[in-house]
Amino acid sequence: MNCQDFHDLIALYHYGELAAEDEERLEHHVDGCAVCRAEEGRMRAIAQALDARAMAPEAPLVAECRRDLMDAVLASRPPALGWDRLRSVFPSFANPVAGLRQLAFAAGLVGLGFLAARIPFHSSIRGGRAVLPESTNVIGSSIVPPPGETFSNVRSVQPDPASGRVQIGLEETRRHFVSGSLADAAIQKLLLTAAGDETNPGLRVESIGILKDYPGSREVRQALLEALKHDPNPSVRLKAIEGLKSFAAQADIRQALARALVSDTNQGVRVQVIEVLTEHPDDSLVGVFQNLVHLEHNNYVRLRCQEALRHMNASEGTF
Amino acid sequence: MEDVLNEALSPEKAAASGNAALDAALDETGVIRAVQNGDRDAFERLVRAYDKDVLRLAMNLTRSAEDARDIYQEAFLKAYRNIGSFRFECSFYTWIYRIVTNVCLDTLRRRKVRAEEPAVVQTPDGPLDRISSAEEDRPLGDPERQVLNRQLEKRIGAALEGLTPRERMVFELRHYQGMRLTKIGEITGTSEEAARNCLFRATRKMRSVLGDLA
Repeated sequence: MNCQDFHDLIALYHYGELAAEDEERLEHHVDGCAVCRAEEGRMRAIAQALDARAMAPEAPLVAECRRDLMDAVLASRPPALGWDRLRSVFPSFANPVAGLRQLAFAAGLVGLGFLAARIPFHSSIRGGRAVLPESTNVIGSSIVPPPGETFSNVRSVQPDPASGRVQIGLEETRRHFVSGSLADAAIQKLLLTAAGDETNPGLRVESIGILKDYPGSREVRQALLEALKHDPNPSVRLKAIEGLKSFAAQADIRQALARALVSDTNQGVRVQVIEVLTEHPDDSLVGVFQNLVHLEHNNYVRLRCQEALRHMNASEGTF
Repeated sequence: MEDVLNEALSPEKAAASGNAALDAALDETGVIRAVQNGDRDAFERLVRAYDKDVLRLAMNLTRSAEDARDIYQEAFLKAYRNIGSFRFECSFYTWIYRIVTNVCLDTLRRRKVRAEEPAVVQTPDGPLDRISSAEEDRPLGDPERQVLNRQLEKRIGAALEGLTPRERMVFELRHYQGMRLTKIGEITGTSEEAARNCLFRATRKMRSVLGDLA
C-alpha cells in the first residue's frame, strides 16, 4: 500500500471499520508519515465538530410524538394479519370438526357468563364509598336505605347526649338501570344527555359510539355534528365521524367535515375525515385538498390529500 | 413498573448488559405477537422502546423537529399497519429501522428534488436562517455547542447537504447512531461492502469540504 492508500483508509480507521491487519499497517504507517498524521488529525477535528452539532430530542417532543401517534393508531384499523397468522389464531379453519367443538364450547362459556351475571354480588366498599346493599337495615336506627344499589357519603354527625344516640347525615346516590331499544325516545334522550356530559369523556365515547349506529333521528344527527365540531376528546370526534358517514353526501355535513379537515388539531381525525369525504367525491372539495397539500404539516395527512386529489382526477397544484 | 419495562426494552441497555432479568424483559416476541393480535397497549410499549433513537436519527438527518415528527409518525404508523407481516426472520430492531430509514430517505430525496428547504427562508419578520434557528432551539448550558462557530455550523451543514441521501443515511447511522457497517448494510438492504463504500465516499466528501478544520 502506498501513502494515498493509507490516506484513503483513515476515515474507516477512525470508525473502527478496518480489518485488524489493515489497522495495524495503517498505525505503523501513520507513525512515520507526517502527511497521514495530519490527515488523521483533520478527521478527528471533523468528527468532533460533527459531534458538537448532534441534536437530541427533548422529552416534551417525545411525549407529543407519542401522543399524536397513539391517537392516529386509535383511529386506524388494527394491523392486518397475514394468512399464516390468521391460521395460527383460528386453527379450526383447517379442521372443521374441531372448529364446531370449539364453537359449542365457546357458546357454553357465554351462557355460563350470562347466568353468572344474574347472580347479585355486593361488595362493602366501592370507589372509596360505603355501599349499603338493599337488604341493609340499621337496627334501632331510623335509617333504612331504599332498595337498589346505594352509594352513601356521610355528610354530618350529630351526637345526642340525652338519648345516647347519634344522628348521621348521609348523602345518597342511587343507581338505576333502565334498558330499552334505541328506537325508544326515552333511551335516546338519556344517551343524548350522556353524550353531552362534559365531565366524563369515557361516557361520551360510549354514548356517541352507540348513537352513531342509529343516526336516523334529527337529534342524534345534531348530537353527532356537535360532537365533531366541539368535543375536546378526539375519540369522541372519531366516533361522531363514523356516525356521520351515512350523511356525507349532505351539504351541511360535508361543510362540517371540511371544517374539521382544515382545523382539527388531531391528525387521526383529519385522516378519518379525508376517508369519509373521498367516499363521495365532490369538486367543491378540490380546493380544500389542494390547499392542504401545501399547508398541511403532517406528511401522512398530506399524502392522503394527494391520494384524494388523484382519486378525484384533480391536480395537486392550484394554477 | 412500565418505566422499568421500557427501560429494559431499550436496545442500548440490552446491548450493554447480559443480565438475565433484562433478557427476560426483552422478550419482545410476546409483545410483538400481542400487537399482531390487535393489542394497542403492547404497540405503545414497542414504540417506547425505540422511539427516542428514531426521533434522534430523524432530527439529525433533517435538522428540523417538525420533519422529525412527521418521520416518526409515518414510520411507526407503517410499522403498526404492517406488523402482521413481520415474520421474526430478522430482529424487530432491524425491521423497524428499515422502515425508518426508508421514510427518512424519502424525505431527504423529496428535499433534494423540491429544493424547498433552503438554509435561509423568507418569513414575515425577514429572512430566517433555519440552521441557526435550529441551534437556538436547543437547551442552554452546553458550552461546547455554544462556542461552536456559526460559520462552522453552516459549513458543516453545507458539507452534509453535499452528500447523496444514501451517503447521508449511512454516515448518520455510523457517526451518530454508532451502528456497525454490517448492521447498516442489513438495515439499508445492501451488503456490508456497499455500506463501507458509501461511508468512504461520504467521509471523503466531508473531508474535502471541511479539510481545513484542524
